[in-house]
Amino acid sequence: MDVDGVSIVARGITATGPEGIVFENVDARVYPGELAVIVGEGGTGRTSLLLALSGRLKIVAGRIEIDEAPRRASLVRRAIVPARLSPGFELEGRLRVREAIRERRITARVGARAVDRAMAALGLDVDRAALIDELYPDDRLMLAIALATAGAPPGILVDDVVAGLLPSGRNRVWSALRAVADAGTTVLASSTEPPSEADVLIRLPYNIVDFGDDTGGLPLFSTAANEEVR
Amino acid sequence: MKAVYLAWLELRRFRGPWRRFVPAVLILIPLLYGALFLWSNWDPYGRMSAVPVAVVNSDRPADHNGEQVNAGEQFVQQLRTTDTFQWHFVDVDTARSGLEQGRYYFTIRVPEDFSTRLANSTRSAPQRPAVLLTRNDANGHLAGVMADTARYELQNQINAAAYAAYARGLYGDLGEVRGKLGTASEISEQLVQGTQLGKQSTGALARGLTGVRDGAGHVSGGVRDIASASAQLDQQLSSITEFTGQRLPATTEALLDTSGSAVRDLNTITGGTAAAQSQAERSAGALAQLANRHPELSGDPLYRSALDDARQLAATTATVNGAAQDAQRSAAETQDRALALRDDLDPLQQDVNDIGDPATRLRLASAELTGGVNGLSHGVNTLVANIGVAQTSSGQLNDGARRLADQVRDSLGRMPPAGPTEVARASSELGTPSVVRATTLNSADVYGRGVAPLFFGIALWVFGLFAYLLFTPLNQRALGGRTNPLSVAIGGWLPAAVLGVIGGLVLLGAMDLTLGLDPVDLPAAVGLTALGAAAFTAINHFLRAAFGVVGGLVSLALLLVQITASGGLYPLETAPAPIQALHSVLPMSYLVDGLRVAFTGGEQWHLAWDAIVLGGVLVVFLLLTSLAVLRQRMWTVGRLHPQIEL
Repeated sequence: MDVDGVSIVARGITATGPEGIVFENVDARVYPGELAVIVGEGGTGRTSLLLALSGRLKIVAGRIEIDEAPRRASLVRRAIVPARLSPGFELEGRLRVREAIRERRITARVGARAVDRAMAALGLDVDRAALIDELYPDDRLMLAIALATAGAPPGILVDDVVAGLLPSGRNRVWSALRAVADAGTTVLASSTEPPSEADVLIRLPYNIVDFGDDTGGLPLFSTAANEEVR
Repeated sequence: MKAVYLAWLELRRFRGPWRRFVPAVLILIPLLYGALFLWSNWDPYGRMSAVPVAVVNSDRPADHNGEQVNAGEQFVQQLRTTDTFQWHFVDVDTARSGLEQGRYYFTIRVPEDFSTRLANSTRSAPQRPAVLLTRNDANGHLAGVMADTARYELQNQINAAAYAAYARGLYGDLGEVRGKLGTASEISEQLVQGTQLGKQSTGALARGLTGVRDGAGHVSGGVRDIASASAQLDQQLSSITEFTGQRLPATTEALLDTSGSAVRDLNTITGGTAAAQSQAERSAGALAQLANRHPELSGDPLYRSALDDARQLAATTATVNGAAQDAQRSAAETQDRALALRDDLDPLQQDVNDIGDPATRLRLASAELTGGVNGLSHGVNTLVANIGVAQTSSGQLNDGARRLADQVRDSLGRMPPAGPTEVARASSELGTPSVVRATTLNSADVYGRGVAPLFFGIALWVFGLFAYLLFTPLNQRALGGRTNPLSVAIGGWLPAAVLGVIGGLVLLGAMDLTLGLDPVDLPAAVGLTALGAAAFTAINHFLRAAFGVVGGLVSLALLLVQITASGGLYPLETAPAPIQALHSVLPMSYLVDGLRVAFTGGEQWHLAWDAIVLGGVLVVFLLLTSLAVLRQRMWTVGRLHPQIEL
């Protein structure tokens, strides 16, 4: 365990947008160092939920506890940093790899060595003179994950993991995220399909939450689609 | 430094074969907008001569006092000499269809009764002649506005033509009259010169005649002297004649008688004296012989005295004898001369008689001369008196000629000149008795230079609006990361601001070099353009960063409001009250005001205040953007899935 991850508990959180409810009455519990995956089709509120759980989106009902207590959103944002949010936080495709690294050193206050270490930890080796757009999609996502983990944050966000990836790429990314989680960082991800590596699955739009082994204390719901992953 | 690097990364996004030109194209946006408009509208009023205008002359000449009034033709001729518009002299149908189809922007028609009305203008109920101007706003309203601005000049042309016709109606052909008056003036000048000469010569003549009169007086005096002298001469000659004829011969005879008796007496005397001498000499000889014989006597004093007496007596008698002989010779000579005199008397008498005749004739002639000279003297006196009268008259004649010349010259001066240009000038002076002289402080000279500040403002605003269609207002990674909000804000503003400043300066430079914007205060123009670009970019950046696409629309609305509210075209007072109220709160007002001072001059404190306001706007909007950054670190679903997207 290199990093002390955060624990995230959501209790009946609801978010609304201009067109009504985006997600409603969602409960979730994620322990430190777990890989939690929000599963749902596009447009089901996956990104909104990721933002809400990381203190980046206002909820209209329910509450979120980070490390067992409600926290100020700015502190939560500092603890849980995005690797990729689409839309909202994506690598700029027209920059070179080294420029993206430099950018991150400025915006996240991390050192060059930390980035190198994070890339090495993920087994990522890309041409730093290459444009981000020229990278394979899985390399691109891996770079985003590496840049997010460079500052050794307690938690990271990875939106829409499998988008545009071949099965081999998907496996590679899930493995990497599993490794990041195993190193202690709590990982919140979203995907259109549930990966086998996930510790927690949160299904949208059905508010189906799987707490794995720990099923005590939290209200669950009750649809047939409820599915145990582990 | 973070902001600068973020800005640099934003610019680095524009790479690739086409995208790399995006910043360069952005720089050219102000130029594209500002320069294109200003170039095409730099001096529209200076190019009115390219605007086609139809002129129709339907006027029929009218008669007035035997003079033909043809004011319509006169007007057309006046127009031909000007290039206010591009005149097309056509018939009425061509003009109408041309106006309707857009070939002419407006038409000017001289109606049939133009001359008639003018010719009747001296009658009791005059009607003002009119010229009809027809516009078609389908060809563009501003062309009509231009026609209005030219109306003053047009009015002058019409006035000139009307005046010329009017003057002809009143005075006939003014030009001819004027020409004749000119001739009269020249002749009267000559008359003045001639009478002046006459006056001078009669003066001289009078002076000469006075001399002659004086001379004649002298002559008649002399002649009188001659007459009296010749009378005396005649008288003298008469007594001489008498003397030589009668008394002189008698006297000569008496003289002859006397000298004859004297000669004879002297002959007697000479005989006695010669005997006395020889007696005395012998007495003296006898006494001397006595002494010889009686030497004792020689010592006797008595003897000696007797001898001396004898000797003296001898000597005296010798002298007397000599004198007597001389006298006798003289008397003989005298008698001879008296004889000769008597012989000469006859020719003398003859000569004296010869003199008497001419002397008599002289006396008679001199009497006649005296009479003639008296007549001459009389005549000269009369002449002198008459010349005095002549001198007075020639002086009066000269004065009269001078007054005549003055009168003629005066009339000529009062006579209005009748050439086309002079008529035009005279009519403009008569038609508009007063003028408005305009002086412009801080003159913009041409339309383009005057509206340039507004178009600089619009160009820079359009740049800001356009820039954030291409630039990302805020760096997503920086927004989602830990960079401080101000750095994120500046990092998003800086790339566009730099390009905006460059673009603004490119516009300024291009305007200065190609159109001759020639700012009076170049440093201020450069500084204010840069500041304006920075401030406007900051405003657009804020709108775009805070409100996304909606912000772009707000910016567009602000642009349109500011075009009207910044007072860059018409005076603000002509705008509706709400627009006026917005004037002082909209930033473009200050850029326009400041650039106006920098381009064409004005109050320096305006410039300073405008710069302060624009600088304040810049700072305030960067801070507002920072607040937006702070707020946007918390997402909303609405921002995640925008309702409005471009």
